[in-house]
Amino acid sequence: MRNKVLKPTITEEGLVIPIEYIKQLGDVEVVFQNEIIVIRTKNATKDERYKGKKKSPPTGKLGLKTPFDREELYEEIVADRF
Amino acid sequence: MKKSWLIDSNVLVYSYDETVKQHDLSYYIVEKAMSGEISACLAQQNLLEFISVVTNPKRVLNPLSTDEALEKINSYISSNIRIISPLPTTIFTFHYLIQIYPAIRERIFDVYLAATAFDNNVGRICTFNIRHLKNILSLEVKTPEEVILLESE
Repeated sequence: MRNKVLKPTITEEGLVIPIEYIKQLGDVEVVFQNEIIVIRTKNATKDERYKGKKKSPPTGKLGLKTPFDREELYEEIVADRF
Repeated sequence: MKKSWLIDSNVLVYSYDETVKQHDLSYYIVEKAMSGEISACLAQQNLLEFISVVTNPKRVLNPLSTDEALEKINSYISSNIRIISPLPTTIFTFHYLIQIYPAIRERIFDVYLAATAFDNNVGRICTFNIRHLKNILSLEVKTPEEVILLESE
C-alpha cells in the first residue's frame, strides 16, 4: 500500500510542509517574492500554468464618449488636482 | 524568448467597450494575449489609465464602480499577460528620451510609458495612436491589425 503524503498544515509552530509533499512536485526551487515564500516548479512558466484554460477578456457597454487620449486624460487629472 | 508586445491603454479600453468600432480587433488582441498565444505585457500605468477611464462618468456613459474596475484588471493580471513596472532607473530613461526628442515633450505620459517599456526590455507597442509613439528610439509601434498580421506569419 502506498504511503499517503501528508499535506501542509498550520500548527502552533507555523506552516508545516512535509518534505514528501514538496518532493512530489518534482524539481523545485524556493524563492522569495514580495515577502512571500514560493515553492516553484523549475522551468515552469506562466504559460504552462494556464495551459488549456480559455482566458476571455472582460467586456461591457461602457459607451466611451471620446477616443482614448493619454495626454487629455492626464490634463484632466492634473487640472482636478490643482 | 519571444519578444513581448506592450498593449497600450487604448487597446485595453476598446477591448472592454462593446460600443466602439475598435472593439472587435482590440478584443481579439487581448484575448490572444490573455491566453498566451501572443506574448504580451501591460504596464502598471496602463492598468491605472484603464481604471481612470472606465470609472469616469465624464468619459463613459455607463461607468464602472472602482470595485468593478479592479475586478476587471484582476482578469488581466491573472492571465498570461505579464505586468511590468517602472524601475528606479526609469526616470533617467525618461529624462534621456525627453532630451533627445524635443518634439515629443508635450506628450510626457506617452514618453514615460515608453521609458517603462525600455527598462523592462520591451521594444514593441500595440496601439491605435501610432503617431504619438512612433518616433521614440527603436520602439516598434504597430496597430492591432499589423500585430495580427505579424503574429500570423
